[in-house]
Amino acid sequence: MKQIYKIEIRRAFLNKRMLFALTAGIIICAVHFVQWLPTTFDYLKTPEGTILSFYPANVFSEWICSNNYNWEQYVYFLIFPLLACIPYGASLYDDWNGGYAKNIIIKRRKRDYFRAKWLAVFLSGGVSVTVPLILNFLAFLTIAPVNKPEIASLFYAVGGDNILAPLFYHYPFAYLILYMCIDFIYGGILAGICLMMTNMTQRRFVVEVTPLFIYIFLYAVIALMSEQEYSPVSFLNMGSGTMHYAYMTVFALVVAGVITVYVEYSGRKGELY
Amino acid sequence: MKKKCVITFMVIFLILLIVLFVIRVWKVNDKYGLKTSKAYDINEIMECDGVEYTVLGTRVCTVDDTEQTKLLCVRVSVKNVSGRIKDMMLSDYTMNLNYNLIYPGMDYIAYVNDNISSMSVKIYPGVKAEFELPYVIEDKYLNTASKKYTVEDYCELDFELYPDKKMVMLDTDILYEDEK
Repeated sequence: MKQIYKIEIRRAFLNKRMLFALTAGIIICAVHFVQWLPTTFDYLKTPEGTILSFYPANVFSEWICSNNYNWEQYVYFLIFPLLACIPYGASLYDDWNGGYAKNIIIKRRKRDYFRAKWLAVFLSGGVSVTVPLILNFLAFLTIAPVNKPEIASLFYAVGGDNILAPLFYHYPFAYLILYMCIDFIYGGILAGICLMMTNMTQRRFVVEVTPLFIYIFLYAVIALMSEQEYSPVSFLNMGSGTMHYAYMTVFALVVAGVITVYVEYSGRKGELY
Repeated sequence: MKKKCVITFMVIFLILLIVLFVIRVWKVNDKYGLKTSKAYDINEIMECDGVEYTVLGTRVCTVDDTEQTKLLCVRVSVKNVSGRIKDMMLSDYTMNLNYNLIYPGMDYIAYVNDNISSMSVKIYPGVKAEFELPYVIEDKYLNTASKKYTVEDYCELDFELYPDKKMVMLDTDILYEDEK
């Protein structure tokens, strides 16, 4: 049983599509780093004379997810589902139409195959969206200090009424790790939507881009209601200063639950595939 | 054999990269890191850039026209010990009230006057002056802080943030007098 998980995870990570998704994400993050270098150095310079409210920039105020007004973060979080789905999202479609899945199911239990597939897709989606962000953060560590965020400097998007503000201002690394986990989970879930699309269409392209369509559709509808902070495009960025943690959790649990039920159902019943 | 060589080369390259990264991060933090952080008490003299500041006390008041607005008024004594005339822009003089680290207090004078940044005060050498600085305190933050958060309840008035952080710890009990 463990063997099939190993095989699926290995296939999910060691493929050209994963390399492509990571490269695309890293390029966006690298462009941000290069573009923000002069600004960061400006914010680090101590001004002439004494300005009591001066506080130098730090890594938490400069990296790609530190705010929601740099265009790179907007592009990154706009194509977020695509970056998550490219590596392994359409693998079930490929396996099924190429005959690989049939060969596996003869030797193993169908249920295990589907579970392994869901896990591999989830992990590949999560890794492909978080690694570029982590690399961007590490790059900024080499030019900006890790001073604790100072609320009085007014650099940060996390406001006073944010329930996790004490965590951000006291333990910024813990907040960062928490947010990377949120992005990882959402990356995995968005990639998981591809599994549900597999037997609904004859086109591989549709399987891969459906999560992006749903994502953009949600963004458009929520924007029409002027409630942008409820859109994943906004709240997946740590720099948006979102306060809707309960909404984010429920949203993720519902979608992940639906995918898991679908995977379990497909693994037990023969009609779907 | 060739594969082994490539792996060895990659491992050495990775270790070298990590060492360089650690050295660089250490250097950046050594240069720009916060040096010290000192908290002063009420009535304790604190010197910043040739000016001696003493926080004399605090009181809570409301504004007549908007009674909903609660203010924390901080009485500060300022003495010029620099030996030269200090021309202080009020915008620079705005100190940050940092309540429970969750809400940057706002200088109420700056809040109600758009032209505040153009105003300045001159303090002659040896002259001592007293100011009362009003900061807006919103009840919703007080309630949140007193009922939900478990972090240590404190209220600090930051005078200087960098390279040495200087702040005065204020009495927070008066903020909850209404609740009591």
